Amino acid sequence: MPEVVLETLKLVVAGDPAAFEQVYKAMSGFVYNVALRITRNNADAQEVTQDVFLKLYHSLKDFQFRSAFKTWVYRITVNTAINRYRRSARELKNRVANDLLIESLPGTSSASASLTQSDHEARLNDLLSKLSPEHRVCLILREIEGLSYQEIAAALKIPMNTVRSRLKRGRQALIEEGRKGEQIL
Amino acid sequence: MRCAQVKKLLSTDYLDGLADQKTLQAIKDHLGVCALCRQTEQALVKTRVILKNSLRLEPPAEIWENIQSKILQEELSRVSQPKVSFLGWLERLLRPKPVLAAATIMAVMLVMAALNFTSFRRKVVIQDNGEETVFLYYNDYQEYASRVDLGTDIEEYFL
Repeated sequence: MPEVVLETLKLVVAGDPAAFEQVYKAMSGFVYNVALRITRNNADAQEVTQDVFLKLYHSLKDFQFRSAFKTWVYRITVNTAINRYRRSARELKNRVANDLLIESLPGTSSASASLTQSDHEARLNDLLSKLSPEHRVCLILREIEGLSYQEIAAALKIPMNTVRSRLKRGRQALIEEGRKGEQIL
Repeated sequence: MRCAQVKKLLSTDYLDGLADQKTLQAIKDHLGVCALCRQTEQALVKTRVILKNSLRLEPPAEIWENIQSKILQEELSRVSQPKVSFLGWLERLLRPKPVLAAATIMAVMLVMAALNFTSFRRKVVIQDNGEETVFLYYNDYQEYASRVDLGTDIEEYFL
């Protein structure tokens, strides 16, 4: 995720719409993709992204810059996405996660490439769906977004050892699921 | 190194490149002789590849449009609301509020009734010989009723 400089954030607080758009462009990819992996639903991911940026817009004036802005965005994103996922899970008990996500994939130039990518996404999504939201979030932040243990710990406000144990359990659960279903391994 | 310890390290420090040289060597030595742990390592690497190769999607354009429109709506509603001065705020605070007044009166009446009910106190004239009058006070209704004839008993009346 590209860094957002302090000057840009100050301009956002001062009400500069161009500066806010700059922040959006820098962060929206991370926010949307993390939300998509956690909620496993395109409509929810869009809503989460919208909510996260509105929260940022309204709370930026109160942000004390004691922690990194990036970490703050990670935390808001993860919390908003988990809350949205739990609410949706309650509303829609029999959700068909893979179908929902595959439907949201953009079209690619080659039909076969699209099929392969969709298949890959379906397998990935199916595996992630077997994990608890806490384990899933850790794996998404580490493996897909490439955050360090320290960054994950700061974003989730948990000790480093908890990050380590969640990653361990998450990865071992994925292997077990893979073996059970003979899907990937 | 034992299998359990190796499996734990494989899933964390080894895979994430955080193991020090000594630990790394110990894990590699173990993997050289343990087929089961080697299988686990391969499975972990394959799972990681699947996660790493996940598709990164561009956020749909309508998200930004929605955000902009929401902010604009908020700004407009903020601007359209008249600013309230201190005097206006004070005037609004002091303006008579009939519902609030009625509720306060009702609450005061309820409190008074409750106090009256709980603090029963009755004065009874015990003796009046023209020169001296003796009063006795009862704080408890039961005691008062047992000492004082309150009138015709309804059962006796019918008997």
